Amino acid sequence: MNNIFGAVALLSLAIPSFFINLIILGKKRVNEAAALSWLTGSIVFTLSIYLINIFFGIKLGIVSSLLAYAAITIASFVGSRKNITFPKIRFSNYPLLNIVVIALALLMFATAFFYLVADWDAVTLFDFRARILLNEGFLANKIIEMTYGGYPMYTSLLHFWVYVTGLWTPMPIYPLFTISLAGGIFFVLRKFYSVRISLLISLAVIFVPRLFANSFIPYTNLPYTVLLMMGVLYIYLWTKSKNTSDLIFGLLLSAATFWVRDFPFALVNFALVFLAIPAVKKHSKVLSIAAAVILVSIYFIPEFHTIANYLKYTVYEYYSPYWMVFSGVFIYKLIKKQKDWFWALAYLGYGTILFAGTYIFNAKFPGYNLGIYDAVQRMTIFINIPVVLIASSMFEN
Amino acid sequence: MSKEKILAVLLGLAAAASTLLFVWLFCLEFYNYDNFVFSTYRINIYKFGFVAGIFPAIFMFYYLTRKKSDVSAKILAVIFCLVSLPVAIQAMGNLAARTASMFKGKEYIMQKSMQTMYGGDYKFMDFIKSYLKDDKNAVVMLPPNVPPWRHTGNPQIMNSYLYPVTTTNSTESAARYILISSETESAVYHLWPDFNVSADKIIIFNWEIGAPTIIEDTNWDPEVWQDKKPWGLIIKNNE
Repeated sequence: MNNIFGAVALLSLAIPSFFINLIILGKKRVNEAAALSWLTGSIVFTLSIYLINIFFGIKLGIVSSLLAYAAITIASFVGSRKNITFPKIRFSNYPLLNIVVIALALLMFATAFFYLVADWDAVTLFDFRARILLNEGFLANKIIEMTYGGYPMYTSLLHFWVYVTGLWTPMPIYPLFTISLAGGIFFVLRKFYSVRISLLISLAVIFVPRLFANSFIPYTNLPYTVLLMMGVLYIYLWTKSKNTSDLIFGLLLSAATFWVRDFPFALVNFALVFLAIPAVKKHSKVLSIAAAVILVSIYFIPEFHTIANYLKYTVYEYYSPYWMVFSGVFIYKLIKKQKDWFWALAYLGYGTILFAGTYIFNAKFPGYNLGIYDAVQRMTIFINIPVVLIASSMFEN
Repeated sequence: MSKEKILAVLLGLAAAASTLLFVWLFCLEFYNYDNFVFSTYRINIYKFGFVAGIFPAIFMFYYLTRKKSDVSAKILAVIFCLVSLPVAIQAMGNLAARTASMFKGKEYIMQKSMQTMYGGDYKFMDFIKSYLKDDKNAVVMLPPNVPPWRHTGNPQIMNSYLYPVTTTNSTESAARYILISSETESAVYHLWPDFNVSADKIIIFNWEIGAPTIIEDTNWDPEVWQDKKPWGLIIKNNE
């Protein structure tokens, strides 16, 4: 096995899930299916090898992994054979723009092949588990007993896949998440906006603070962000289109976040599904105002002040001026009496879960709020993306 | 050329120049080391990064005003320039630095990454790893997991680095190997081990030439080694 085979194996995770995406979304949405194929492929494949290892006791190695890959590919191909179609790439409309975007994506991917894993959590956990697995073939007790050993195995299994197929470093995995996010957002937004506006919003999304930089850091925060945001975007699409496949895809992507980290933010995505009920949608403005009032007033309640203040300076002020942009657009929507409060509720919902989660966590582990701020900032990379999307929704009117 | 066109061209040039300047500064920062730009040019690029978005924001506003665009489009374009563009510029600087580093080769980038993560200690850790490569069941006793042994005393780091060799911080352990560490990360020097050990071999890592000095049939006495600040490995005499 060598590096070229490893790189091809890494990218080939997109093949079975391209077929799976086509089954869910239908053959007319081939561009979306292709843009998100690697992302969903990484989930389906890692879950599969996890299950055969845990439930069937099959030792993980090159043969068992390749067989699992082949089985998924054949099954998805057979399942989708009536839907199979391939995306047509047209360079003629915006040739310069196409070249710049493709060159940037290629540079992100190509430079990653020169870097090794040299970040604390990855060295001691995510990558280490992959190396144990590579050596022993089983999710041995050694992994479970490790500090934070109970974290989901998603990125560790991706690292294992690149190592076992011959790639010397797992770093090229991570730019693929950013590329998937940009591509996914672009093709979903194309349903609402022109090419230029969709591209601008996609760029504004990948240039929220810390997201792009995380394309080169082997942590789980970026995949978590990408799955959570693509999940909520498909649920948003469903509230507009009422197309069941959007709802299924949105719920599956949101549920997949639990395979990356056990954070509870996907609960907001699930709750936003209720906006499809006319009675709830009718009161969504009142709900948004109530959520905003509750979130702000928490700061003034002595019992909650410490944590609210902690999140104020570690998250919201750190990511300034996004909260100001949100507040401005929120007031603008109120004045203009706009009816779509989806993204406002998403932003406020994530804020509520963030507060509740941090409060409970701090009660269990007192002093958490005095520790390293970097962890909570990395965890909340996604929180500014609804701000970009709510600001962009001004175009709709 | 009309005055309006000249103004548009000047604004466009200012926007392009400020963008390129900041991409270049961020490229220098990422290519060299953290705080390179401030320590060299006294420019705090993280604090004043938003400056890079000001000229593009003015240019965008002017351009869209001339095109009689919708008000929300103008507001959004300005917000995008002021909020997202500084991050985008930093990202482009990062990508440019990574691309430039790529031409220096994998070895150069690997050493730089290792230096950032472990300081120079990774050379010693490499030596221990290679010395124990034939003894997969080896257990190494580390210094306590407190300063000054930030790397060599950290079982998570050392377990991962030396895998499949395992490590322990317990001085009660029956580990055959004991790490000798003179690490002084963020604290005063404290030689480890600071107790006598009955030894088969004392292997002293040589930072200069790489080949170790091996001392046989001599017990470890910290008093003897105190001033030499040694790094290495003791193979215990278990008899």
